[in-house]
Amino acid sequence: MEDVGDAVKKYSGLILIYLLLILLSLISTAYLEIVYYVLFLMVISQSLNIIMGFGGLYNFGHAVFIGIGAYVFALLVVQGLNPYISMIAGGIVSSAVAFLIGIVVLRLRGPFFAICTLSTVPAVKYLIIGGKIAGGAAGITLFRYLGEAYNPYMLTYILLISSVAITILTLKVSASPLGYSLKALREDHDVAETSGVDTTRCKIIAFIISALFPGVAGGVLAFKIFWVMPETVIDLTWSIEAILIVLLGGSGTTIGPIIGAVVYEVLKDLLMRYFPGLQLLIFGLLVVAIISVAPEGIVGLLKNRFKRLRSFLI
Amino acid sequence: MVLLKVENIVKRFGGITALKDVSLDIYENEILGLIGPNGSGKTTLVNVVTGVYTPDSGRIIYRGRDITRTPPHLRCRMGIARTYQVTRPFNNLTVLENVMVSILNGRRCGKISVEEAKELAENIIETIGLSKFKESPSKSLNAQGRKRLEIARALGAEPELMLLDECLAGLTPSEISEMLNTIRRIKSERKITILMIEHLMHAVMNISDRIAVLHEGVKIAEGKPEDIAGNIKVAEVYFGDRELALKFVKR
Repeated sequence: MEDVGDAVKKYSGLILIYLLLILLSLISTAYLEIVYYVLFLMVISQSLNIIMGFGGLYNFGHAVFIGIGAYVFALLVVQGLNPYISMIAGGIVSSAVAFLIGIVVLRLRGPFFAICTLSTVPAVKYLIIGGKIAGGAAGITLFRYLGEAYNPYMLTYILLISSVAITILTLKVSASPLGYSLKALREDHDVAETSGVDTTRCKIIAFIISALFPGVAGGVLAFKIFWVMPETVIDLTWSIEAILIVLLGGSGTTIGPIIGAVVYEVLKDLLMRYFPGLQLLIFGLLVVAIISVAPEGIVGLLKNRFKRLRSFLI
Repeated sequence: MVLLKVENIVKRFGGITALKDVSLDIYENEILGLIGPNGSGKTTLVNVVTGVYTPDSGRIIYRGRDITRTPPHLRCRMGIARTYQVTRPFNNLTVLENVMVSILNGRRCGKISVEEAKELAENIIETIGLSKFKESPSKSLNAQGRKRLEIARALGAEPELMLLDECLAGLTPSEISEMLNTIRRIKSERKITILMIEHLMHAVMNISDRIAVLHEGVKIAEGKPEDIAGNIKVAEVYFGDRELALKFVKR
């Protein structure tokens, strides 16, 4: 029983955050909306953390996975498939696409990888528009297929379950040979290679894992807005927000992206309320300030300031 | 028995030929010293043997298998490990984690759990004398600590052949003699063959069973330490002057 006690203590920070989110979601629909959005950001940034935090690879193409999830979801729902199964299918297809993209882009390192992945977002977007795939620029409307099934609580809790699943996955990866190998190649790619790390294989596996839940989240997004079109579901903003959140919270930690997503969303809301119009400018300055004061993110800052909190900040 | 055979290796970088038709045999259980002035191609040879560079021609044979085109991580898993001249620890990982990476990915790859790897890493760190720092991030180590960590990480892969690239450079005299003792101990306890690149003549003469000399990408001599010390060609390369070299060799 001691083990259970230890585990509860160790994960108490995480459990507390999840409980708070559930409570908030039950207060009112306005809060539910915020919780939904926070969880959406959590899912995508926690996923990104696996390739960016452990592997050191800044994937600016993360938004592609959301888009693919959304489109697969829409195409399957139109065929009459159950929306929740369609979401899972979206995740799986997203991972499969990550494998194909990964074979090409994971040959590159550092800034070259970042630039190449950046280009995958417009590439997929204009492929759909130009190729008139799945409705082209107009996309697919889903209201008549999903209008009756719509349940905002269900969508929020799917994101919650996804987030918990990634948390567990992150903890597992972090303590596995894969985790050690990814951290090694993040620090020094060549030395990792001569120390026996199969860098290509590790990066591809991490890339596949990081694409799974954004695909599911894409389906949730499509369900929420009843409409998939290239401009809204394949949006570079998601990539950038996810990268910001990982940096803000603490790259390569488990709880970092979770804290980061909460702080990011709260900050953005406050700024929008009190400085409408100027929010992006102030936000940009704040991010620069936070990253220069705390290059290891909020988690790193807290760890250094409050030694007692250390065991909770996993 | 020959462990590693370097056969007619040529490596060019643009207009510069770093290795010109170099052949070299490394026998099981020996310490082979590789010496030569700066820019003579010693590190390039290590890079070719470990797979960091692909040679323009020639072959590398390890235990009878041609590994010229084998990727670096597979060579490590076959038992070839190396250290780096300019130390390259995984900065933000602890000393323990640094060694665990090579244990989990080296010759034991896939056959060992993280827990077992941790225990083994602690053993190696103790042998190498870094126990005090095992939980510190490796970037906090001093020069000697980093040199030692390079060796510990190479040992983690459980190598049969270890390539030590100037693991004494930058150390104080007392640190050097400690390090030489460590290397001797590793060699006898773990039955590891060692190729050692070194500039410090007295150290390399002292520890090596055989010595090979590179000069401008050409192997100019190979033999027992005492023969190399009396070799006029080698002396000339090092003194840069035939008269002085002759005087030295006669003495």
